[in-house]
Amino acid sequence: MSEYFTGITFPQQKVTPSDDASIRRAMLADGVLSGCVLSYSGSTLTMTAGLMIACGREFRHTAAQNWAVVDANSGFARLLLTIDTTRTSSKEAFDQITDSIEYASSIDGFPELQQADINASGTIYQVVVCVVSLGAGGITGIVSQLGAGERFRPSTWLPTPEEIGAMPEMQLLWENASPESAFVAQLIPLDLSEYDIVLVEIKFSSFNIQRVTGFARKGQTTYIGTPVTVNAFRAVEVSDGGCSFADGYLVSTYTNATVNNERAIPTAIYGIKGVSA
Amino acid sequence: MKYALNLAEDGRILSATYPQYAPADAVTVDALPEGDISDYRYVNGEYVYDPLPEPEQPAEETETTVWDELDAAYQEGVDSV
Repeated sequence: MSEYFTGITFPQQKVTPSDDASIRRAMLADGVLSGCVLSYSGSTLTMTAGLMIACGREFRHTAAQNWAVVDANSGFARLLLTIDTTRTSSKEAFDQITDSIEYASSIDGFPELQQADINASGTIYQVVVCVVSLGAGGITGIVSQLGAGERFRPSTWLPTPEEIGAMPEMQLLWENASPESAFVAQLIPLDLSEYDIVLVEIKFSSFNIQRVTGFARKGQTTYIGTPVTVNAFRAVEVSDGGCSFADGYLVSTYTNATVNNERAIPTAIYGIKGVSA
Repeated sequence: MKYALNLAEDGRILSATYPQYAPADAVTVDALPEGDISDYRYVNGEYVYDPLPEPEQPAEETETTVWDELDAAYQEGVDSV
């Protein structure tokens, strides 16, 4: 037994509203769970009955409600819900959620929301149900509102595989078991039919440890070189049957390259699938 | 540890990898020869030391030479090597 741990979702243990909301908040962003459809006519804003969630706390809008948005005829107004956990919440009465209409001359002119964590020590949490634009005849449009789309997915939620599509996959297909040896021209037989492109790693030389990598497409000759003052390179042709390496070359001067198979030693071949080559 | 050999027709060891990366019919061995494996041929299950000729060494292999040549190339308007 430890005095520093208390069970919550365990047998015979108590689950408080804040305990429950802590889990829901981790999964669900503030939003509409059902109903709560907004509409307007003239200066009247209406929201139907439904369910909403804010800071992990679920609450019901029990019936259609109208708000008179009449205190301005230009700019913007917003319907604000304020959760105040210091107010009454009992079996007989619930008064912890209040609604209000606020006005601003510009879309970013509203007061900053109070969004303390009411599942911890905070007591006030506000959420904007909608922002409407105003004109001489009343409401001219709904600029933004809680609703479908992101309400079930916080920004930290990982995208699903369906949203991402096929993820590229890279696999080590060959490794040089003797990278300190010279490497003459040769075919490394590999079944590359299911790979889109390969990544070839080479060592600068049989006696160096530095390495460099390069992508090689099928059906093309790719030259992979060492970007150092003593340059070396090696060509590779990739096909479904493997990687055909040419001799290594040492470049000592701008116009002078000589065969040297102690240079540009292939050390590893990776196959990559799921990419557009 | 086992190794899989990639052999030329005359048994020259071209390279070595590990069996999981080699074709099923590749020759596998328990040990590689000492030193540069390309100096050996694998004949009748044995390593035969048969070194390849040393690669031709360029006359000059200095940092100065390379960069001097590159500088000259750029000055001549050549933008690729």
